[in-house]
Amino acid sequence: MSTKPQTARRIDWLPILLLLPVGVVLVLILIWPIVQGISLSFFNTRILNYSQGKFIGIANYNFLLQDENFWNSLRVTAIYGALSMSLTYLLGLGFALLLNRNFILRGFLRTIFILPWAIPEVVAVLIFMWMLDPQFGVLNYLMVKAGFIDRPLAWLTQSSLAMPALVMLTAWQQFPLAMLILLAGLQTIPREQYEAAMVDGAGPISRFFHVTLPGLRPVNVILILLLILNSFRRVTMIYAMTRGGPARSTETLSILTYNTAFEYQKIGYAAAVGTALLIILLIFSLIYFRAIIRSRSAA
Amino acid sequence: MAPVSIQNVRKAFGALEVISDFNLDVQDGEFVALVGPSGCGKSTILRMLAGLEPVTSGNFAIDGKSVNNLAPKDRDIAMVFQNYALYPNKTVAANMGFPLRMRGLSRAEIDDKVNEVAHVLGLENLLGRYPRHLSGGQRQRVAMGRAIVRNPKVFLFDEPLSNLDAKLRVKMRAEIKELHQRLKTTTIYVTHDQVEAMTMADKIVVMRDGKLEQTGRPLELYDAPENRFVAGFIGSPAMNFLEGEVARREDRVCFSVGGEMVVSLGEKFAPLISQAVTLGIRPEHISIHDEPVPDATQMYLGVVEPTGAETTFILKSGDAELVVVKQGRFPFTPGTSLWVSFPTDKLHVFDTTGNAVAVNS
Repeated sequence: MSTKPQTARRIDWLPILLLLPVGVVLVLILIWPIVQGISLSFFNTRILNYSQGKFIGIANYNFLLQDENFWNSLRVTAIYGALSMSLTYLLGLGFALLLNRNFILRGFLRTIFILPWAIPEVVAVLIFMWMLDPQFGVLNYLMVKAGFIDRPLAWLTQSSLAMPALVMLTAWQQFPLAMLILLAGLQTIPREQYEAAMVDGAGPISRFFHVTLPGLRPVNVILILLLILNSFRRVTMIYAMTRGGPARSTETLSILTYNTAFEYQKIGYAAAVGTALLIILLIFSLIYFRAIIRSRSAA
Repeated sequence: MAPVSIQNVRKAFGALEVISDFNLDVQDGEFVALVGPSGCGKSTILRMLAGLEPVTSGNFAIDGKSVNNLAPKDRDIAMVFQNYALYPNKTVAANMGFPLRMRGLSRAEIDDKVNEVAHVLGLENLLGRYPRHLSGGQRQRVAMGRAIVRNPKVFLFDEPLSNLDAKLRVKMRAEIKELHQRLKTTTIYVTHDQVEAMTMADKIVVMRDGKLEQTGRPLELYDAPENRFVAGFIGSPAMNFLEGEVARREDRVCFSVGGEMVVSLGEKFAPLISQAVTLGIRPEHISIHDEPVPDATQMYLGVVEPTGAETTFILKSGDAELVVVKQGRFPFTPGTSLWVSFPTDKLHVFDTTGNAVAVNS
């Protein structure tokens, strides 16, 4: 009885074969469009004569670096990201702390507080546009009544007010996400740590800073990065509310990409803006994944 | 250092009463262990004393003053928790210094005290580390450091060793005892492990179902349990219990288990004749012989467990089973017949309600 000598490096084809369908699908729906998008950024393609685009090397990128609109968008994106993240986080933390306490209507309130997140973005925008309306808006009405302002404000047509309005809407729509993540984080903090702090002489404020906040650190990093990433990627809400205006005051990078491609029809240049956005998102994603891995290994 | 007094304490969660009329006096500097099975209410007593759990009724006093209405931080107690409850984001030094920081001590004062306690506990080299980089035993020691750094009136320990492995538990047991001997701070120590209670405490409080079963010095509880529960709970391996009846047979007072196994008792048990009782005897008090002797009962050997210094035997006869522990090593093999006899002065008798019955000689 002789056995066949086993070759040391025989390739086992079965796993590769089984993975192949998924691989093909991934390449088709993910990798191919990204490669297309990036390669498009080296052409001067316009939407109406899509097939006539000429290869122009890195000219789009040269132009990008000198484009005031691009730098404006980068600044707007940073401001929008920072403000909306901060307000969303604070609202989420406040409600998470509230819902982490025991009281009778807790289950009911938790459901209510999740609603903004469940509403489609466009519907949320419409609700806010009505509330912010200079003539019929309830917000202006209340603020005038309360004496904060003399006359109704034109929130969405004034460049200094459009960003605050957008940040308000974003925070209102996104805070349930922050609340849920922070609530989960709060519930992982052992009760004994609070009790130890009470015995050690810490009052409510000390307990918040010495037990609660440090206890939330693993979820904080992930949540903050997630909120920033979301604000970079957000199109529907901003486009439906301001289209990037007035006077480009809310034109984030994703809106600039959209406007360049479909308003100005310069799809080649839009691809270059999109690629720049992609690089920024990639950097944040890398930080995000590192944070996740680190919080896992810490736990 | 201070005495602790617990008077008529009751605790109920809604309609469920978990502690009923609990009374305990702890002397200044005493080490008291609250021991009992899980859910007996021992931790609840400790948590009420610490102020972490509201009291339904009754009074807790530390150093003669009622603390019922004081916040935990104003009771001048320190507590060591089962899961250590260290602050994960703080170094060992910051963890130990936290109670002092909350009391507004200066940096220099905090550093001095932390270094002093770290020296006592052998933590000098770990001061800059974070809890996640410490072993279970080291974390436990840091938790103790955080408790003693403030020099409180009372130490409260809530099952502090139950998360450690057996070997470390024995080591830390000795360390805590030594620490108490040095600091002489009043200590209340909750555990479900009667060995911990026996080895460490000046006084043991045995609890069951929210009630105090017996209080006493460790060996008092061992030698003179007031009821069957305490008798069975204190001591390892546990006391043997045989249920049966006292009867006179052939002019001798005997104890019979279901009419099969018969143990000769002696005249002083005569008052118990025709009563159903439970007989208790500790494993080390039973004598075994490899040949018939007067007044001995024949049983067969089920299991032999040699542990080196001593040997544990499990003997059987009908439904009755006895655990016997003897110093030394024995050549007996399972299945062989052995004869057991009970020294009558070591027997415990319990009536049908479980209370100990005094046998007058």
